[in-house]
Amino acid sequence: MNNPTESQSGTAYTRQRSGFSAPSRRYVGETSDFMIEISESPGIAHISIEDLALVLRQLEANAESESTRSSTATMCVRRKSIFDTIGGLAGPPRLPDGIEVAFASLIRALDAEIVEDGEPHPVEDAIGGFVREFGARYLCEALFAAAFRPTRTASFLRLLGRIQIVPSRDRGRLVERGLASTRVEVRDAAIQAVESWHDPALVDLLMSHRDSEAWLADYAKAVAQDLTE
Amino acid sequence: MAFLARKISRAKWDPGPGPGEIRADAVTGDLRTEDDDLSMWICPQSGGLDLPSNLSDVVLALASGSKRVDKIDVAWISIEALHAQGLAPTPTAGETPVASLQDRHVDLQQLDYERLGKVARLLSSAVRNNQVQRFREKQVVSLLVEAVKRNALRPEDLQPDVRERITRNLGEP
Repeated sequence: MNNPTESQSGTAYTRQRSGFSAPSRRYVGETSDFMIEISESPGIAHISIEDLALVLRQLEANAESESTRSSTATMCVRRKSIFDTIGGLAGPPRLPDGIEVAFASLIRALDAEIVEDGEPHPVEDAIGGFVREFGARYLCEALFAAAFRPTRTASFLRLLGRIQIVPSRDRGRLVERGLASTRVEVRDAAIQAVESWHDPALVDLLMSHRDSEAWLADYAKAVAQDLTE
Repeated sequence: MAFLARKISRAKWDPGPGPGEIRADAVTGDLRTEDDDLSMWICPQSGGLDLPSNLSDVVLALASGSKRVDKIDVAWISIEALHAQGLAPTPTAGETPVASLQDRHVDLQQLDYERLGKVARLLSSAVRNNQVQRFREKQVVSLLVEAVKRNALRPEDLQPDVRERITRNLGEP
């Protein structure tokens, strides 16, 4: 604990506080020895040294009982467990002020008029403004929440495809999640978003997609070809 | 025999939860009437085949009047099938800047709830029988560019965003 090393996993990473470059206003107090950034969603959480020590002691005990694993594998498991546990202790990250209100406003405007191919939609500019202010990361989660209507997800994806400022990394997340939907409409919209962005970086996602609907599989393949020509 | 074609959003016509069910979103989204009239485009039969010819003309007519270039799904039904349901198309001028296609337009007029339902059934059946074709954005651009090149369409008659896109593509091989 006196010499914590920076480490990373798919879900979070910790750094010794002195090495963290985030704004200092993020600190909760001098007793906080670690800050945790949950990379799957925006925000920074904190964990007390006491809680972290508790987690590590528990994991140490678990690791000793698993003597058959290689040291590397054990380290990976422990590291993942640490981050999972820290994530659980820290709870969900704080959302930027106003983001939920702004998102609700987008939904109301979206519902007021159908999204139609060949026609602009009145909410397009507002979605662009939302992405400029908050980024698109929140949308990557919110549009695919279990309670969110798939028809709205499809509409959002089609409109996001018309907005070029959506960052490349978020485009990939949106398309990936859209293609994984059980609803044809959402998968179709995800492919159309790629077509509208004209983004060759997303070709691999389309090429690796296997769709149960033949016409949609053909569409994905054709769009991928269009983008590579 | 001739066919009548209409722009749809194919995914909305994905079969509903039960056999023969048509999603309400398909009807409310793709069969919106104006003054109880539903707009459709005529396609002649392709030789002896049970297929429409020049479906791309319908796409050209639609895309040239649009404000954006997007993919277009077009579904078609035979005029005979419409007649069998007691429905008759009325020729009306099509709203497209492609002058040669304006007389290829018809309206199904004075539709009510029952008659619109018949059209929905015919279109749903058409989609299930693959009487639907998707024109990707790139294909739509290509149709518009070709129409401009053969002087069937003047760029100045296009909506600003479409005109900008087509003008940009005119110089490309």
